[in-house]
Amino acid sequence: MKLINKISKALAVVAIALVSFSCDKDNENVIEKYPTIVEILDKDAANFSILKAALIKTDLLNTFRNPGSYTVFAPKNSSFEAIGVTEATLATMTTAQVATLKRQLQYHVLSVGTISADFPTNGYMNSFSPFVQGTSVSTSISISLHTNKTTGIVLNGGVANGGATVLVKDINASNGVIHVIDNVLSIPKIHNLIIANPDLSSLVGVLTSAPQAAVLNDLTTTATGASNALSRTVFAPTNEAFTNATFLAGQSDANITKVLKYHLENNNRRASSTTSFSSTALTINTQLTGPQQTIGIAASTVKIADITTVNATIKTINIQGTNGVAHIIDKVLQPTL
Amino acid sequence: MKKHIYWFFLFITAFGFSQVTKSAITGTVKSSTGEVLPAAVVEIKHVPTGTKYFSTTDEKGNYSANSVRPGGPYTIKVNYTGYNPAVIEEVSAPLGNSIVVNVVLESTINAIEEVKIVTVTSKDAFNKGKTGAGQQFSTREINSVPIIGSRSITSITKYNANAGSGGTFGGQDSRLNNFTIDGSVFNNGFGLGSDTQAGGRTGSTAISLDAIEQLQVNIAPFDVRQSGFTGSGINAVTRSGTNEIESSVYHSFRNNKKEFLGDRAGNVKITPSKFQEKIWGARIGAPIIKDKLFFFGNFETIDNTSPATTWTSSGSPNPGAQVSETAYTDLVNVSNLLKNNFGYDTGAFENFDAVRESKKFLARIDWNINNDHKITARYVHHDSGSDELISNSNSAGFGNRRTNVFSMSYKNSGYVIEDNTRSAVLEWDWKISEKWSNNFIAGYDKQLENRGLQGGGIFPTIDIKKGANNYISAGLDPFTPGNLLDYSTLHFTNNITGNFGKHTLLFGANFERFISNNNFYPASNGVYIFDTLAAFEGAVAETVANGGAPATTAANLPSRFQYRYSALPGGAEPLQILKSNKLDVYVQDEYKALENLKLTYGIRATAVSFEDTALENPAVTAMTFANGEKFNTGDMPKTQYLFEPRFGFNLDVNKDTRTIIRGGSGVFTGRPPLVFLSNAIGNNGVLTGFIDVTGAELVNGGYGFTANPGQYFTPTTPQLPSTFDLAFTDKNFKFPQSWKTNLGIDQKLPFGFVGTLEAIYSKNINEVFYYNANLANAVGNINNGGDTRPFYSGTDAGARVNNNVSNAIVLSNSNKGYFYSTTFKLEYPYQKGFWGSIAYTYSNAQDLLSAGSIASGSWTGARSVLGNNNLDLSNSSNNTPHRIVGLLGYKINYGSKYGGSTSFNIGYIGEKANPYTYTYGSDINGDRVNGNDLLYVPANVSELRFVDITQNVGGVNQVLYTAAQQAEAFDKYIEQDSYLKGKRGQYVDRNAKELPMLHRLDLSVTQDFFLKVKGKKQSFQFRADILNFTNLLNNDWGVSKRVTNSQILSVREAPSAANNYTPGLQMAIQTDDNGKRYLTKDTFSKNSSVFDVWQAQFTLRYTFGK
Repeated sequence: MKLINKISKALAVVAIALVSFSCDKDNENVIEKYPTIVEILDKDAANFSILKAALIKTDLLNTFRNPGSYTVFAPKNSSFEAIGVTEATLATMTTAQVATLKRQLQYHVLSVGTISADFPTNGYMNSFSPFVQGTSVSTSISISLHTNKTTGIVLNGGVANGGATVLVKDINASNGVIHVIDNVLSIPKIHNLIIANPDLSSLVGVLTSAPQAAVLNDLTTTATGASNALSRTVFAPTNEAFTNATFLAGQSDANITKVLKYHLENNNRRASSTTSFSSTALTINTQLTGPQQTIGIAASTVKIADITTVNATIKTINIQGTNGVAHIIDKVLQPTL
Repeated sequence: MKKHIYWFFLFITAFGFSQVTKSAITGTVKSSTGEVLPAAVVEIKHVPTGTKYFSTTDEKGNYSANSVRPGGPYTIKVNYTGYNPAVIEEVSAPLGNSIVVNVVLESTINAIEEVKIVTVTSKDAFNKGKTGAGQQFSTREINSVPIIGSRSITSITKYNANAGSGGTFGGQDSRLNNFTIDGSVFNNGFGLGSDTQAGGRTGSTAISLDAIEQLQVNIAPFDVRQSGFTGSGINAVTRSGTNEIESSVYHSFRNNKKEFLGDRAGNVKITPSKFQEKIWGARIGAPIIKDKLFFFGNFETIDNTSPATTWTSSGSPNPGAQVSETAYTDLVNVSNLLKNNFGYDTGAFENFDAVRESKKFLARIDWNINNDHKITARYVHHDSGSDELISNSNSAGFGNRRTNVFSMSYKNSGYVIEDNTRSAVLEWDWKISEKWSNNFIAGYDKQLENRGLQGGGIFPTIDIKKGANNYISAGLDPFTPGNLLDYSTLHFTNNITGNFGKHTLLFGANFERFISNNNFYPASNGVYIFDTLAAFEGAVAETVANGGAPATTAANLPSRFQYRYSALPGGAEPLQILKSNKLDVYVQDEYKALENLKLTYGIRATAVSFEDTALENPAVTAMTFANGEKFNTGDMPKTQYLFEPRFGFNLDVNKDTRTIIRGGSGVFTGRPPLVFLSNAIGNNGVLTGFIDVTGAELVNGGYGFTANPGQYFTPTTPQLPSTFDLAFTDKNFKFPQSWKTNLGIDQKLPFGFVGTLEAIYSKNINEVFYYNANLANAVGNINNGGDTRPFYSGTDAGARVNNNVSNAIVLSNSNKGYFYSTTFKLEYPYQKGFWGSIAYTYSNAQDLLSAGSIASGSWTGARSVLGNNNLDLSNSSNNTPHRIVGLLGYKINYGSKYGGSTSFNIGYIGEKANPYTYTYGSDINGDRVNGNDLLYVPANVSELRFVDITQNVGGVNQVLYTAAQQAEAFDKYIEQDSYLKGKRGQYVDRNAKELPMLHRLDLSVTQDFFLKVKGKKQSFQFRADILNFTNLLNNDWGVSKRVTNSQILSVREAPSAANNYTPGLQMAIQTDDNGKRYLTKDTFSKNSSVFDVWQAQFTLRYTFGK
């Protein structure tokens, strides 16, 4: 029957329209908005309640609720407890303690949401922890953080050097990335940042040798007071530079000390860019005095002149610690010995 | 039986008789041998009501009924002695059309049989959508178009081929349409919001679609009776009662559940917020006295309930999805404090609903007094309200008061937007004589759009801070007290039509009186900001102890107090009153020049005058503005005289109605949204005084907390604000006018199709234009690579002629804009259950600016390179270059005594619309207007100076994107954007490009079951309306796109002497569906809201009769 056919056709279309409501769509790749960093912390209160409480205490929490692109290294509750920070102790902190805690928390944050694959294999990134000289808190210069991906992901050379190891990497948040770490990071001094770098192990070896204890001590000293001169600038030669530095062979400990001091300046001297250390020519008075020995950096270059004809090249600039800054160079600078 | 030779013509004139409420039926009566038959009696009967119209043919054999009810069906009977009587059935007379039914009678002299009646059923063929650039929507279409929610008429008129997106026509502002129901004005006449119709502010409509019989959209009708628009005239008539009782009860529902809403827009999962909408409605049409007196009534309520806020307090016993830091106990305490001390009820603060409701009824009486007099009276009553939370604006108080992580507020701090309509109209048709007939309409329409309160009454706004953020807000919304708007239109129209054979003369007059009362009186309840909860609690205790006087102890003082008061004598409410009178007279001749050629020509003259309701501000009168202009805020525009000459023609090429060429040319006058004129009355700097104090001024003035700031702080001598915003209207301001020319061809095609080709050109004679008379001259040029546009100093003092005037916006006219369109349409008129149409329109609309509701916003909303007083003609914001509309319906009926029917209706719209403009974020030319400067596209990105984008954590800034990264990303962005790529080294144009073509297909399916009891049909209907139906089939379909960021660059460092007038720029950030952010790289992003997934509504309906 024609009519019946028509009706059944019509009803079939209705059926399709209505049954489609219950279509199975589970197989598709569904995009959902990532939670914010704060929402991720909230979801795992057992591990992150102290971190969240600390962020609230230091007025930082709101930042991580808002849109942005941050990398947060998140220590677990157990790590905070290990350094004596609990929700109870947070409540009783003095203003000064809160300020210190705030800088330490800022040290756990990088400016761009970075997944672990994009961390340098062996290199430095900028945290949000400000460089402080006396009462002057910088709003733009911040303390560096070292990553080493040789075995796992090690921050600042691991727990022994005040750093940590990443336990869980790459938790995506809408406003950044969280990496869970096994220790609360200490804000590093300049020697911590040097020690963390395996490519500076020769330098570290020399510095930590018994005869050079005074030099090392100078780098581990906390800079106090407002003077720029209380900080140190370190021109740090790579392992390869040491291998090539034939003039070091057979030098006395005293001469090695002289060589080391020739790499140090009583100043927090930062480079303006990776291609131009300074727009004006510099003559830097090193720690090697009596008589004062200098190194020179020509205007708008990253070349350092010592007494030889071969210049050193600055490879990595502005590795900032609390008490000074380091620049990695490809040659051991040679003073008049 | 011998078949009688019999034929008739049936077609519709393309231009004539475009009446607002009526139709016309005319024709000639001839014998089969071609003689004209004078004095033949023609009876035209409207079958459903038995309403009869009589006409006698004149010496040329012409008959006419100039003013008949729209719709039908009609039966036409012709009697002539010596000839067989003829009966023509099923004639339908769509609204505003003139049906021509030519009748040929067969002589009885040669007939063998006895006299018998010839009955012919007219084919419902060439009778739809054929009035020039215009279209009729029949009851069939109105009832079948897929539609959900409050069923606005716009959801039907959008299927007109000439419509732009968003209810606009002819590239004009949608408020320049004229919308009438039964001849009474139903516009959003004051013009707040962009909706064409009354009721739009609460998302509702004043009349239920169930009460609408016919709907007509006219873009370029050349009948002088059609006026009041430069966009389109949209006319609807309501249903009337008939001889058969017919009634219907219906219930529609939808909500956020998965049976009603899709959850995937492409790959993106959407989580619709909770809501529930229920519609109940009924209609009844019945005879009171058969063939004489009829009643029709309709009632409808729409209820939409959703949570007012999904935020709950910390420590809430019923925590919700989002938890604010505001403590439950603090909210309870503040509420109790206000209740116990001042009797002020704050209402709930969490887990309460917001309701949007609309209740309306309509009653209509049709009375056929006798064959010569017919009266229709109709009344509409509509109340609608939409619950809103307290405003988050900081233009009074601290702002950011609710629905955020730091702050919550109370129910009674919110308000109700109301949009209520009262409309009465009376229409009287009088057949004066065989030649003359008269149509009279009187109407009164009133819109009430005051803000309502939630409860609790008027109380000062109290913003209590905690740290840097707002924490609790109590008291009334600061923008609600005294926020009033009502407006009314009283109108009379009279048309006399005379038929003189080849000429049909029309004389008409129309009078409209418009009155609006508007009041925006923010902070008139007093607005306090307290820095701590303790200070507020202290203040409450102190003011109570003071017997209500302000609390003045230092610890209890607010940090800021704002209070606005009337500066009028006696503290009268600072109402902005506008009264205008508009008188139109018109005359027209419709001339049947040849049997197949009709001409109309006519002229309409209009006088518009305004009553003197503005107040003079002597301080302004003393000022001199740019170019030496002087203004008086007390001046109203002069009385204006406007003329609308029109001419139209209709040619039936082969005299067989197969090919019709039609067109015309004429002037159309629109009614501007009258808020444009009201602005100048309100923004004159003399209506209100304002106290805004902080710090020492607050302490010294003793501006502490009191529940009655008006009692303690209203100064005896009003102090006018030192800086104010001004709006003027040019004394010579004229209502918008455009000159439209239209040419169309309708062609009957094989297989029952009808094709139409249509072209429209419209040139603006007067259009709305704004300039700022207080903008000082440019002082130099910027130095932004190849971009050296003029620089306006960058300071308030330097950019203003008079420094105490923020803006002095003048409403004026220009005549630069124009519009043209070409339409191809193919239609399949209803036949054996099928009907449908598809049309494609190519168009372009050009103008200088798009006016908003507020004068200053309309001026700052313009886009320019040289400054907003210097605008170039460019694409209009309503430009819709490509648009395809289609409707397709199929209905099958089965059974007789009992049975059913099934129908499918598809509505399709594909459009390239929503133009966008690349501008700089912030202000690159120092004119103190943000976002109005057109982007310069560098030939090479190195021309521009970028500055680093940084992020801040705890006071330390770190670079997120360096200047070099941004320059590179911007270069890539230009390369991937087809428009910018071609504009290197140049400025972009306003509205140069539109969003990509979007195709949307909506579906409605109905299933009816009926049963006939004693000849009366009783039917049950189930109906499903599914909008964006294709999204149900495929998640990727029907998903709209947006411009990722049209302010792709923003000015971070303004040009100044220090940077050699080279601005520092930053590139915009894009957020992807995951919420991740990066430098913008795509021109368009996909949307993912409930409007990008399918939405369904189900309806159950019981109908008795019909």
